[in-house]
Amino acid sequence: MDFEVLNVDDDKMVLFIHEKMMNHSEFSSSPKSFEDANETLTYISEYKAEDKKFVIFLDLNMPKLDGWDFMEELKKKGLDKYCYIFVMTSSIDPTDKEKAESYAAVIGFVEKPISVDKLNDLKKKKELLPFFS
Amino acid sequence: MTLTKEFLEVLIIEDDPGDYTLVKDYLEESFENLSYHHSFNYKNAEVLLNSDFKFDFIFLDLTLPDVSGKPLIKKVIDLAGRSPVIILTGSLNLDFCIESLKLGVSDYLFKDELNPNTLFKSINYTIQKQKQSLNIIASEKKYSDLFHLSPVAMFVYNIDTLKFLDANSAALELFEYDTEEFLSMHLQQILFSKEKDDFLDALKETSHKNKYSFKDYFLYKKKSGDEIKAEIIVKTIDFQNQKAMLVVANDITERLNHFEALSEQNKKLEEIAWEHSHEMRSPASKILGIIELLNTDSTSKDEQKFLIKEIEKTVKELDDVIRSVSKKAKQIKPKK
Repeated sequence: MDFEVLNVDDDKMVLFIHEKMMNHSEFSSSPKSFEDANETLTYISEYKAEDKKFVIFLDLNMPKLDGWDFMEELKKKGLDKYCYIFVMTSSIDPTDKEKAESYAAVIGFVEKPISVDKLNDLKKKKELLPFFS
Repeated sequence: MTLTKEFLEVLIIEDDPGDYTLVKDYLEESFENLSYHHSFNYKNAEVLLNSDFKFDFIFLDLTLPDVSGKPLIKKVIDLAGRSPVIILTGSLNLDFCIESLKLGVSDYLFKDELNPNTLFKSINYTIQKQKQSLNIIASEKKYSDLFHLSPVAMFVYNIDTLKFLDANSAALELFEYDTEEFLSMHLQQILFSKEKDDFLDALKETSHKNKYSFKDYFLYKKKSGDEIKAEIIVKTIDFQNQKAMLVVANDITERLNHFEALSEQNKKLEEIAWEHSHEMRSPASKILGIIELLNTDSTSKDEQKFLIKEIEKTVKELDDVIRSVSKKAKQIKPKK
């Protein structure tokens, strides 16, 4: 089983931080960055594979296709089974959390900013354990 | 018999000098302080009745040289105002007697049966009756004032025809009509067509109840077409022998407007709170992320320079959000 990390955020700086942090924490050596969620969808449908999971760090507030639309599209296209999603938020609204949990692909919430410690904790999540052991 | 000392003004309308003297003599037996005025005919009586004199009672002979009978009674009653009129007549006609009482005459005396006692009794009875009727008028006026001078809008309508029967000035002011206009209208005219049927049905259901206050408010239409929101209390009453409904309307338009202004304000505050938590948190978390990155020692010198530049940029971003929050907070002053 293989996995690929996708960071989705409309802020280039945030993407830069994520890449660096993932490298440093050895969470992923080559995470992919997307400023546009539409491109992420295209990427997933092109590179999906039965023995691969996309681990997506998804920002909810984006101008074109936002995080919610993205998850909706993913489900519609039947691509959600290839994905594990972490919802990235700068502040967690309880109703947002409830809504996000209704998506099967969502396996967690990460409050910004992401840090080495947080990423190390995520490695221990049961869905991700196989990739890091 | 005791002499009545009360000071009274009497008008005797009598063409027969003998009858005049007789009445006067009888009166003097029981009343000490009477002041007499005498008219021999209607024309002269008319002058006196039109003058500023206020008579405590009036004796009227039914056959005068110029006018007599029923026309005479009507004319005198019209001019007498609140002064009681006692008829003196030589002919015994009970039907006519009853008819004249209906016209407003206080008593009906037959000259042949006249004596000091019957006269005394009739006068005292008449005066007492007059006092009572004045009391009733005063009391009616008091209640009418309570209705008309009340600051709360009130109006009355006929339950069957829905025509307005009365309205106080507060109601006229509220609906922006003058009395004449309003009293020529009916209930439907102050309702909006979309609510009309619901409202009339609701009212119909209450018509068998003595008093009822609606929990919810209804919309009413002013003359200008503007809306009024009012809570009403209704009461079935008897108004001038008609089955009527008294409606007390409490205008809550302003109160509701205040309420709306408040919830509007609340909404804006919520927006600000959201901006606070979200829009401010977003650049703040970015700065924290950059600092975190700088702390990991995984960055080159050039990257560090770039990251510090980014911190500066993001702090400016944060500053913009703070400014927009304080600007928004200034805008939420409630509307007047």
